[in-house]
Amino acid sequence: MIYCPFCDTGNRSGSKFCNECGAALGEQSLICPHCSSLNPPANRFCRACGHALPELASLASMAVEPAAISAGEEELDDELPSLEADVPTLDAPAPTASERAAADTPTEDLALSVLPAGETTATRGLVQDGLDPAAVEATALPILDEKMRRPSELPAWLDIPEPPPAPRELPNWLLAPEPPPRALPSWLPLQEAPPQRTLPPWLFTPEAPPPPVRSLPDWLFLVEPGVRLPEEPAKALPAWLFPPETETLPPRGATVNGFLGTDCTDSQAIRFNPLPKSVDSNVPPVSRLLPAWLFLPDETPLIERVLPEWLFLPDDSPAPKRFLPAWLDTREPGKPRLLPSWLFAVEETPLPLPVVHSLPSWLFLTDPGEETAMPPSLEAAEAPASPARQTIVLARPFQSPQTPRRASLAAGPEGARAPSYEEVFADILQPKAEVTPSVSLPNGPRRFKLASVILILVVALPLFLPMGINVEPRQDTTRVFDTLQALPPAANVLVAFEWSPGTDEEMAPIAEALVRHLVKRRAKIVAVSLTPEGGKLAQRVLDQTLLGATSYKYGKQIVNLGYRPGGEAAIRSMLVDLPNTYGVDHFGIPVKDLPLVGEVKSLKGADLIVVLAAEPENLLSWITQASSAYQGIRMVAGVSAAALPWTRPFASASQAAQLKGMLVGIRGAAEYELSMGESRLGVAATDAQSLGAIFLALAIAFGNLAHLRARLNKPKLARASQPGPVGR
Amino acid sequence: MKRAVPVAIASGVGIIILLTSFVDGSDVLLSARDLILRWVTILGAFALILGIANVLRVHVRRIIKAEPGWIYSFVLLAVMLFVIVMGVLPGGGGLMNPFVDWTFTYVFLPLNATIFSLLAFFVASAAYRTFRLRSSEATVMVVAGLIVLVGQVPLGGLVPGLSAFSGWLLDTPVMAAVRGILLGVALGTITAGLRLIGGADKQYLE
Repeated sequence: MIYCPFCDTGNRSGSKFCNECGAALGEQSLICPHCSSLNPPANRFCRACGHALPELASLASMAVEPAAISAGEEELDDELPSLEADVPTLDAPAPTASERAAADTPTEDLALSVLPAGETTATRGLVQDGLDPAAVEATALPILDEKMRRPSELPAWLDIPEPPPAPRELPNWLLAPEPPPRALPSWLPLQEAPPQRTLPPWLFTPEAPPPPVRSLPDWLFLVEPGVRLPEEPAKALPAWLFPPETETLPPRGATVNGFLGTDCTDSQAIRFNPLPKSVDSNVPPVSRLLPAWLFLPDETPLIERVLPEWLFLPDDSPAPKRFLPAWLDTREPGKPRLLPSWLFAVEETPLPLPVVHSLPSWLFLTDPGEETAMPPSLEAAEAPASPARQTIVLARPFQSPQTPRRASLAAGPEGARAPSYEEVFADILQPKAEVTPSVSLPNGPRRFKLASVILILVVALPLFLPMGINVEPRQDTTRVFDTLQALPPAANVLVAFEWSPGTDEEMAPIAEALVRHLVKRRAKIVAVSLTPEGGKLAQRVLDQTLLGATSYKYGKQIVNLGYRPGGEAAIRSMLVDLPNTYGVDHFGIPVKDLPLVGEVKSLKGADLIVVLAAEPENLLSWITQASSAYQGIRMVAGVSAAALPWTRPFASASQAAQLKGMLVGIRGAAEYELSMGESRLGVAATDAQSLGAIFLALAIAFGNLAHLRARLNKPKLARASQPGPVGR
Repeated sequence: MKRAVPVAIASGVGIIILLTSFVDGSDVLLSARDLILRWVTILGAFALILGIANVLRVHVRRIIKAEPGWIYSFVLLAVMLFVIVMGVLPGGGGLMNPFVDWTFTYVFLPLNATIFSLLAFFVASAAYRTFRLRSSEATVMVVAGLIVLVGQVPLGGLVPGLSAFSGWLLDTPVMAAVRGILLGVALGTITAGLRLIGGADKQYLE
């Protein structure tokens, strides 16, 4: 193994040049007596410290004549007594023998541990140079021992500044072995096979002088006009920090198909410049703060459009057709424009569309069983058929077919009269006769009209021709009947009319049946309402039921107090003081002039409360403020069928239930009429309601069957819409 | 002060009404309760006046600006003012005024009933188009709706057991769900009332 005198790299025996630094091996080196640096044999001064280097011949003589070195040692020993004599008065404790041994031993161990056994830095170089190691060691170790021993003879606090460094005052291993000073301590590279660097190279600054011209991409710098950037600026940052270059982008001016997701022919293709200008050497550098690819290309003829043609306004083309109604188009000369021109669709190139439909058939309302697929003919027609100045033509949903009449309108000069709404959509409003058999006219509206007519007949006919369907009274109805039947003669009954005219057809039969039963029972009736229309509706019901009841006198046996605002607060007020809650009745008569009201006084004075409510909220207000507040109040109700789920929990058969019974919908009215032995509007409407419910059930069933058929036929339609193979 | 007084009034009124439900025999409390209930009725009438004023403001603005459909606003205001004037004229008979009665009986009532009757055709169209068996949940809903729809009419009684099963659906699962909802509403009402009385909820000031 041969060690390089310059980099200490171990080289194979017989090597002539260092594997690491390329220095010639086998030549004799000079060791600086001042810093122990190795120097080429031709040097006269140390390359590290500038100290004069001895000749090789003198070194050889030193090795042969150790007496000269020992003489020098004796000179140093002679100086020590004088130093000790300068501080005789200080009473410093002398170190003990053990302390001195402890101080000496580690030093020697350290010296031996950092160097290979039997070698020192100096001897290693001398060995390489062919000197006798024993002779060199004899010159080096005594100096080392002397240096290590001197501090132990004086206390540390008596440390006197050292005299100017004498030659070879420090051992070699404490000195930097290599001429170029390193920022790292010298002991780091000292290993058995001392490597040049123990840290990765990227931690060291490059040895070559070199500051990078630019550490950031060019486009981040403001370049003066006319100043050309270097072709390949040095990059101090890793490559991945720089923008991608040409290898990932198509070349400049390349024709790119499929732009905007549309396949187009070469003549339709849009050419653009995808390359940054900084990469393009043909373009002179310009002043810019942003990358060049952000700028619209303007100096090259290759770039024609960045956006599709249809996004641009027509320049000097003849008067385009407009698809907005005429009254919105104010392009006539002299008239200001109400809308910007870009809102108007421009038709520049006639598209050969077949005269089938103005709208695609799949946009029409279809029946659930008729999931019509777009025919291939329309698909081909709505696709861009021909290029128009390299324009990607989009299918227009409201594209009208080209008829001669419309063509003449389109051929008018600039400023010609724009077509009216009827003219533009004439083909939509009046479909042509040449309809393709594959696209049938939608018949959904026709079926809807037919279904509506059937529904009207189903509901209307039973009113004139009763079917006589047997109606069995339900338990709720029976309990209402029993409650009214159990009223004492001349009982005070308060009836609340809580519905609007929209539900009058359902609520009126219930109300009439109940009021008629009350009249039969000779009950006194006080009508109230919390709905604005309730007073009028109550009066209509009372007029109908009391038509032949001559014994009923207004104010004594019957009173219509009408509407009272306030909601639940009004109910609570009636519960406390009925006369003062109203003041006047529905007709404006003061309540004090109505004896019946004074007799009732409050809701507590009523023998029964009948609530007729179409909405569940109205009934819940009465239950909350009256029936639940005072257990002594007996209450029955008549509700619409839609309110049944919300009101049924209050009408159980329990004695503690808030409602003693409840009539539900038209059927409840019919049941009550039949319970009284009558057959009136309730019974007749029940037949209509039954047939209407059956009709709706059948509609649901047929709708699901049609839906199921459409799902089963869907794969067939999809296969039929695909063009078959050629030649079959 | 600007917010403290309304909050104090709301809390006091709520406490008084609440106490009258639990305390009997206090004439002062009962008198205060009666007075408050009458005030509420009067305030409800004033709310109607505010509603009329709002309708006037909106539709007068639409007529002045000649917005699309302004003619309908004009008809609305004309009929409304006509009914109000006829109803409040001294000696006009109030609600029994012949013009008011005629307008209600032959204009308002038929039109309102007509609009509601159109619902039958919408339901028929929806029954055909939207009640689809697309999933298991939709199947359950459609089948339950069909059973209740047919079972509640007298004609459904011709199918043995259909009316009974329809009644079971209404009495058991539907009522259970409705009771749960009503109990939740009641608990929410209690909470809202306590928040109002305690002054924690001041949304009525905004």
